[in-house]
Amino acid sequence: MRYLTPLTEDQRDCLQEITNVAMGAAGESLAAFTDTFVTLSIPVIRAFEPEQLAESLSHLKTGENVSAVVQPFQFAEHECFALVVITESSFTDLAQFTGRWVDNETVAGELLGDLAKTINRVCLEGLSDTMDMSLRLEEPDVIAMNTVLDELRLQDISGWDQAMSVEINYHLEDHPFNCDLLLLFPDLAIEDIRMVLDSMIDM
Amino acid sequence: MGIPLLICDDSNMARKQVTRSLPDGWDVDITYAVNGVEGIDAVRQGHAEMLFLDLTMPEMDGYEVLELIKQEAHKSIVIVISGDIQPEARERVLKLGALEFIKKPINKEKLANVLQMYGLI
Repeated sequence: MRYLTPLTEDQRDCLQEITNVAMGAAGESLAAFTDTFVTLSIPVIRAFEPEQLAESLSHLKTGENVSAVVQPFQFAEHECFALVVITESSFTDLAQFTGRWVDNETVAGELLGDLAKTINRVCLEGLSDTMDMSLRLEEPDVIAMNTVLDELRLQDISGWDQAMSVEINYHLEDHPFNCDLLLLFPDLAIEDIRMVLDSMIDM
Repeated sequence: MGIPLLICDDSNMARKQVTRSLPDGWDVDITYAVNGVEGIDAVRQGHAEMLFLDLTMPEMDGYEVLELIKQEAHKSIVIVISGDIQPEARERVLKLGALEFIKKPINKEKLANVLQMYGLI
């Protein structure tokens, strides 16, 4: 399925392929973290509306409540965000796989933070290496616990105008575990990304 | 006529990267497929004495293509080229009959090494 994006078709195809490789590397980290097989799907790139955050998390529309952690990062000096969102049944899986007893919100938050660190760093380093753009990761912060997906909000992006999201879904084989990593890029970052993609396409 | 070679990947960029990574002067007759359904069709039509196959694709993924090739007993030599670098993914495709697994991004050297290792060039 194709969505509206701020990219040309060649740029979108190129970014999708770069993301595909980066998410594959992060998938291997997640497989090691959970000791299971990770099923990868095709990343979805689209124009992003801050008021319609849930629309960008298409893989999570199961009616289940979600928890979310946000990790800000500087990509070529632009402030961007990596949002990791999981369904509630994923939590049980995650606790079991990592051998943790989740009996309060602090432990749950730590587990979410560790999940975010496991997939975000590898994925974003993959993107920044391939695109030769600088990267600085900040600390992850839990923004929602057991919340209705449609009520999920990210305060930091409320002032954004044009933006782009890259949705990366991770699914664990034979388990309900379902996790979306949503990368959010503001308009100035998109300009830089487009230039890099164009130079890669012409290579 | 060169060796019928099928390159099956949903990304235009990836198909170009594979094409650019082919050994210089290798006599191949290239067909392209943009998903597994087109891929298996091309195999059935005899366009894939060799097949360079991606795994994550729409319509039909690379695993399903491998299963069908096995079921229908096609003689294609399959090299999987994928970004899914889990050791388990490699094991699975080898079990399904792929000759080798190459991690993306592909380049001339990686491909030449594999082709030489199996005496294909």
